[in-house]
Amino acid sequence: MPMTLLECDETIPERKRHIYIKAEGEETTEFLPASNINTIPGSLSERGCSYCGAKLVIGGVLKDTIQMVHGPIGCAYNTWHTKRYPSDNDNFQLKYAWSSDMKESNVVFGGEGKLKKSIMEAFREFPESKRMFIYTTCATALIGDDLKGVVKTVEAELGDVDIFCVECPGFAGVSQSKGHHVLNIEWVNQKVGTYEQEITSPYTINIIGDYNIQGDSQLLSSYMEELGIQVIAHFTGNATYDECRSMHQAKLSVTNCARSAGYIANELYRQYGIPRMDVDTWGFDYCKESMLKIGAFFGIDAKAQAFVDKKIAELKPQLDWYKKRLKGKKVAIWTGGPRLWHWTKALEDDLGMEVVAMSSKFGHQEDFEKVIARGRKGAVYIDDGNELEFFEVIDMVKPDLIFTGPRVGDLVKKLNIPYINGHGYHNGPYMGFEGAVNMARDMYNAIYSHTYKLSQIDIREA
Amino acid sequence: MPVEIKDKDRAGNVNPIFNCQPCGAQYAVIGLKDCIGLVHGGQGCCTFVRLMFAQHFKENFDLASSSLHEDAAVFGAMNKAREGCEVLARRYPDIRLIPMITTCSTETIGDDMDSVKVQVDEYLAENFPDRDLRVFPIHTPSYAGSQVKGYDTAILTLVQQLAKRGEANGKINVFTGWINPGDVQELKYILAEMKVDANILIDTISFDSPMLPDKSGFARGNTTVEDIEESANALGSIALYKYEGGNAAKYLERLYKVPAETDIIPIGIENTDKFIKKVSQMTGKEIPYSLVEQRGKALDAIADLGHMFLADKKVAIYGDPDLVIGLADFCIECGMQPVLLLFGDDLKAYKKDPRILAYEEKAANFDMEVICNADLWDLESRLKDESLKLDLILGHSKGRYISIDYGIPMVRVGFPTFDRAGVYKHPVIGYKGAEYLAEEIANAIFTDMEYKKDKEWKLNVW
Amino acid sequence: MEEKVQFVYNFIQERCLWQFFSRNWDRERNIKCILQNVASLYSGEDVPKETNLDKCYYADAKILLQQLQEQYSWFAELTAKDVKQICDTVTEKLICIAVTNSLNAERTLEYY
Repeated sequence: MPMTLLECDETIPERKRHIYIKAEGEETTEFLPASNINTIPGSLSERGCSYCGAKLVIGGVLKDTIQMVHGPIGCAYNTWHTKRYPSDNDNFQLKYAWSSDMKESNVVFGGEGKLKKSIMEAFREFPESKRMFIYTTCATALIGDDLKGVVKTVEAELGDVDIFCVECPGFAGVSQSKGHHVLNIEWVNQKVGTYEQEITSPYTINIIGDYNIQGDSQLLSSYMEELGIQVIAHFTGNATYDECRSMHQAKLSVTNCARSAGYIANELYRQYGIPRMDVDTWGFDYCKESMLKIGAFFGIDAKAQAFVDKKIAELKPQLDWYKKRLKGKKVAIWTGGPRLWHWTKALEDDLGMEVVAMSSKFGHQEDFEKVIARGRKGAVYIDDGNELEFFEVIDMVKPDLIFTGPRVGDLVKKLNIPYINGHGYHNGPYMGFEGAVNMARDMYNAIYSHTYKLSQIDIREA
Repeated sequence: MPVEIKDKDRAGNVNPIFNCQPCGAQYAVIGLKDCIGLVHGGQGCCTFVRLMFAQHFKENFDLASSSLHEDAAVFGAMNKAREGCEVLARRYPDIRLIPMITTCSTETIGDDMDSVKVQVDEYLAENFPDRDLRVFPIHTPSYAGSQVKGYDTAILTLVQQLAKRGEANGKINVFTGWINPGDVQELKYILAEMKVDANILIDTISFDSPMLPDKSGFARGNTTVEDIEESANALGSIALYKYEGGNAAKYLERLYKVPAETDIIPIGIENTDKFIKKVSQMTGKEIPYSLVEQRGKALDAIADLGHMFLADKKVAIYGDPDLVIGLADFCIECGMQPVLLLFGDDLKAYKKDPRILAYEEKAANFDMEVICNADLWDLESRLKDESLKLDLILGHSKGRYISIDYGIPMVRVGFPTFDRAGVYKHPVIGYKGAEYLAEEIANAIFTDMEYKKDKEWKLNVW
Repeated sequence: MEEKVQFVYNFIQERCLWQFFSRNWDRERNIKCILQNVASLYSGEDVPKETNLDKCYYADAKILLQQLQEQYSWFAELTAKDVKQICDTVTEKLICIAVTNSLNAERTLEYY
């Protein structure tokens, strides 16, 4: 049966709906993993919470915005020093965490007063920042604090600040995904259209769903600059609050991460007629395709072709060097969701590698439709994989390398398998042409590392 | 010289020093053998903390979430906790403990965790009658205290739940507090040299774990149910960190007449002297010459550095409260001036702590500022407005940008220390710890001298 | 011809993302318009380029056609009618897997 019940799941048989092994002749009209549904308590799932999806993934990336977390101290603490998204604003977004530091008395009597004080203090201590996101958390959502009321008062009092609220308590939805959704929809409904930038080019674009991990967005921006295209906003890599308010000014939205930001791309079409063009910004060949499509859209085909030719001439030889040595190597991808379908075919086409197992923390069925369409037969596709499943699948597919987070990477290290940080990269950026080479280099160094061979030797044996 | 003890003068928190209570409880329970804690709340409460541990140790630790979703927020989440325990029991046949760690959401909802325990016990009696698996709640709402209190509450709860009267065992209990495996190793060395039989609670020495050819080298805790049971029958308890384990020691004193010592922090030469003398007094064992020698080596190292390089250096210290006090003592011992101490939560006990009040006398020729309920903006803002000049920062890695941006040497201590390699393998307690600290501090200062070309030639002939 | 339809269908499934937009109506519109454009471009006809959405469909179709031609040497031998027929059949198949018979429950939600 293609929907598979692993041995470690025999006592939680509902997991069968979530694990699929692709076989010849099967379609996703017959078999599609259940996704984006309740997590099984106690399963050691990899999922995070809705607040994480809103603040850590999307909102916190903005380079000029105070990120006020309305709740007890842990939520702010845990989303600080846990990401690698730089900016050209002296990395303001990496250095600070703000919290209203809710205490027991606030839970009992309400936290709005404390929130207001915290907001005023933040604007006072950081006078160059006039923009703020405020996030609810489990506690403040449960007691029903009225953020909008506080915001109204503050905006009236200070006059020159703009504040956006996100209702994303950790228990909302089933994973990070709910936080993405809420932030996207609220932002487009409340803030897009309230600010306009100077237009400096006939070609204007939004780049949606990349978060400047290790400089990804800055690299893509440099491509756009070379083609004379004005990036109205990245949503939200290396972006400012106001840039994201002016997204309605673009002629096209290219969307990379359709999971976390497909919502705003859809709404920008529905409300402003801006078409959504889905692209893969990882993968050497995919990048070529994306750039040519963008060129065709704007009618600057020749320019785009010249740019692509230049990049290929400069970088393909390096990529091919790695391809020779990575061909046939087996990879597992255990990340949030979209990187599964972004990378599975790219690694195959660019480098001859085989992606043999994939697990998604918070992908929806749409993500599985994509990854199963693109992925290999015989590969294992898992929704909301848990730790025991990881061990069993490793035994099944014997990967040479795993793309996953640092903690799971530290786990598989004990099985003498190298990992690469699939979320924050090892040595990125990984997007773009240069990024594809960076990723190949990291994979090569990981797979050919002597360490993982030496660790398999028992020196007591002859 | 004046010691000013005061509270942070802002309501909100900017750059928190501590995580919230559930984090502390999780750190306690991962040190237990055959135990998987169930964090009863949103998924973030568990996943974020597991990440923090991985950042610090570069290891994975098993913790489960009860995966609170929206329906639970309305109808109560007890069945999630129950299900979580049952799933863990079924899938992990070897575990003997499932502490249920509450969070702000489940404390606010008011789940009756004792009822959950009864339900799970009934389930186990019916389905796994031969298993010795204990389930009990640990109450750690995030809107009170911090990770410090969470750890302390967890240790106290473990002792309350498991300590069992039996035959006197002639051991001393050592409640370690939130220390590193390097500290546990040093503690064990000292006790072994003194031929003292000790019950280390919690023994985290195996958090520093190897890659092994048989793939079994996973990081793990070593303290068993029996170890905690035995704590009732010891001849004495010493809590190295009063605020993280002291209450458990006092509980054993009250209930089982096990005398408790909770005010000695073995950080620095003099404090370690006190500790060793106390152990000797409690157990009747002699202090061996090996410790005299070890002490001498540390003093020798410090003598090489003290009045030449360390004297008059102004230091800021933040982190766990006992760690901060111990480090401040050590600094004074070396001739340094701990001019700013930051206690990161609002425990009222700090203001009455005789060890802190003692600075009035100990801080002979400098002013000291002690801030309670502090955050790292308290440190940064003083540097920003230049009201504070510093030569050294002692603290955890989340303060790294202060060191980077203001050009102040920083030695990583406490938790988490993710931006330097191997910190957790070294002790800060004991004579070895004093030696390590002195040399780390010196080397940081030396590197800074060279980087700034500030009389770096002094080191030519040292 | 059936074989060629399968090649083109597989290529699109392995390569393209527009058939997997969030909702049924987006998927259907994308599939129909882009494949129609591919057929038109191949036969030398004009494709709509008025609105930004038109331009987007043009760009997707143009590059897809280019890729098909690069990938399959037999493509060059196809007549305009052949390509139209292939595109029509592929359209049907894509609509079947991504719209009509897809197991993805979210496609039918009314809001984004």
